[in-house]
Amino acid sequence: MLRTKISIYPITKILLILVLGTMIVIDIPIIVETSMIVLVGLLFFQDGKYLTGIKMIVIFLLFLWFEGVEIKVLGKFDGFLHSLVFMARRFLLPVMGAKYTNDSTPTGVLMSSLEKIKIPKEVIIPVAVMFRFFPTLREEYNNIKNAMKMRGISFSIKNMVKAPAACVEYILVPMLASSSKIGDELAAAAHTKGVDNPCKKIRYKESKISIWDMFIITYLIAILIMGIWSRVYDKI
Amino acid sequence: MIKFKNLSFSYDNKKGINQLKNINLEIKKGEFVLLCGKSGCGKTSLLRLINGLIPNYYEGEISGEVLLLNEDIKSKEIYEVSKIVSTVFQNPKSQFFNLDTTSEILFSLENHGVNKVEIEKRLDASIKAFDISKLLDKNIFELSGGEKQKIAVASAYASNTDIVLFDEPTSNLDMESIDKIREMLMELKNEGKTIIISEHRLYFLKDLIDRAIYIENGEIKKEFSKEEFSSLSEVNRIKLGLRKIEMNNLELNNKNNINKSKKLEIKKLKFNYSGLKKFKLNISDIMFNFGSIVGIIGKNGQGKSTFANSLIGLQKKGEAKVFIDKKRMKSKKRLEKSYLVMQNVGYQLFTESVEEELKLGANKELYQNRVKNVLTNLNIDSLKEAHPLSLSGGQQQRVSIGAGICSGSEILCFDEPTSGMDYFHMIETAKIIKSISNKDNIIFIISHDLEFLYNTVDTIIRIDNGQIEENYKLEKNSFDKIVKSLMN
Repeated sequence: MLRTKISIYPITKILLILVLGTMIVIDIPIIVETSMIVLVGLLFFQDGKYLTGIKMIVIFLLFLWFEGVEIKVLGKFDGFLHSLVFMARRFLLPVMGAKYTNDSTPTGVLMSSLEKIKIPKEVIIPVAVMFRFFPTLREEYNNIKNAMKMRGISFSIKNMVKAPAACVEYILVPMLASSSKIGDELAAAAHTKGVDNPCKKIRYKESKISIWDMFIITYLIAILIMGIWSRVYDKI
Repeated sequence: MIKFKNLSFSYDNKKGINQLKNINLEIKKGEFVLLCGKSGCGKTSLLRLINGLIPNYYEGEISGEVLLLNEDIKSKEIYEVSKIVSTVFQNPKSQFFNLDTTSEILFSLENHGVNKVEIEKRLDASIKAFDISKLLDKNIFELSGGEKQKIAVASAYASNTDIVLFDEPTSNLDMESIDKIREMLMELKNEGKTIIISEHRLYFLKDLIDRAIYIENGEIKKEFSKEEFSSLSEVNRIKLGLRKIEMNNLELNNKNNINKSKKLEIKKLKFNYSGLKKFKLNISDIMFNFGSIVGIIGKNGQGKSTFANSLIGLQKKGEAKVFIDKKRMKSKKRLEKSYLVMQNVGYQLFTESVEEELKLGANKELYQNRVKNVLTNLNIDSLKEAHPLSLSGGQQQRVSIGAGICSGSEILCFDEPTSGMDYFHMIETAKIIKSISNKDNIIFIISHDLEFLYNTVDTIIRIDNGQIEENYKLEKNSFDKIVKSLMN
């Protein structure tokens, strides 16, 4: 009936995100990037989110294809367009990795695995609130964007270039106001549910280190070696 | 069970203002107590003193005592209190700590280290008591507002605490969902739980309560027995600023300035929504007169908001053939001519003063002059220097309405403008909406609040499953028809 096993350990997921995040700042060969996309795609499949997995892979392939296409539409801006797509591609991995982690991990399970590696309560509760907050943030952003459209201020590239400060301010002011309120209420609600009880917690949905974790970690190490290898020999 | 002795309280960030004054109150085991009174009267603070959020989470100065099972609450950690008291909050968006429903229901038990066998038992008991098996193991973003609140109540039930608090649990719910909550409250009461509920909507509570406590400016001003409360006269009820206790005999108090010569015609409005929740909006051939105020009713999640968003051009996707005065209006044009007052008006306030807020977006010369008029008409002239985010909810709403008028909107939409409002503020909002209605604009209001609709709208449309099922003039005797259509 109910799924009570969360098959991949939250710590492994956090490790994965850290690796994916690091990849933005270092120049990695395309083969490594592709292998990582395959890995994240597999994880979505394993979680039953087939459509998201397929969508992500298709978008990645489109980005790759675009890089090879020569475009002549905007004149000197063509190069800019290419680098924009390149940036988007580089951010695809960590964003999707974070989405996977967020969708597939109950907040409680995340908390107990952090507890297991002896992270103090004072760190865990805010981290959990933040973790819980991401999906809400998107909702908030959409609402604000709509509100701006009605006042004739749109968050378009044109406006961003013309009045970047105003655009950011109009997004940030309501966003901060509503976020701080929601964050505050979330934490308050959690406190009325005993979130800070120092006793040993028992989670209904459990997560134990499984063969999948071994697989992911081995895969990460293999990719790392491959990355270094390709650098050293500069083959690919 | 709970005892307040000469209790006074003020929040640290509002020093000098006593949020609660001289509260003396005893609540016995198994009692069902209603806290009522205007917004900001101190109901929420009183609940926070029982669930330990004051002073553990919201700091402030307490004098006097609150005893929970004869122990002073000040000596207890909040997690100790949470074993005895659970709380259902107003906003489903910000009370779920987990993203899946099952984990949320069991969260409190998990935190208290309850063993797995017992956890299973409590989960089974909650499923049995509230018939929620279909809602288990779902992403909370897939649920409607009503379903989320059901999960919140189930979570309180699973926690197995003796005391359950409710802080305006039905503010965002439709009639049918409110009825579900009523059934759940009945179940909790039958199991002997001590229940304290703060609420503005009173009609669904009248048979459940044992006592009603009326709070004004932080003081307990009146206490009613169940019988006294149900037989409260209309005059006294209005004097106390309370919502209808008996939901019938609603008086029609709307405005009629329909302009027969100017029409908004929707030949086609289609949109397919494919997200976590899938559904289709499909509306064709309907006409509205300018000058009218149209109430949009229907159950949660049937497409009311999507209709409004598509109509005013916020939602550009989909097909739309909309005409004003026989002229076709594309989505961009419609967006220019429309404004939506959101349920959470906080999203719509961008600037640092009320006056600037009204000027923002009103960039056409023509409308600049309006700002002054609007300030006076909406009675926010004295606030024009104030920061919009520092205002009360009702004032913010007025500023947002003002911004809509200043930008010259002809189509004004309101999304649940009275959710969580007391009688006084609800009537204020109704008055303001009527005062801005004129022959050159048309107003749409999405609302579950019949009392408010009777005070405001002249026409009703009911949206069900993405279609307009009914469209009629609101009459005094429409009441039964409305209730029937919303309840099954």
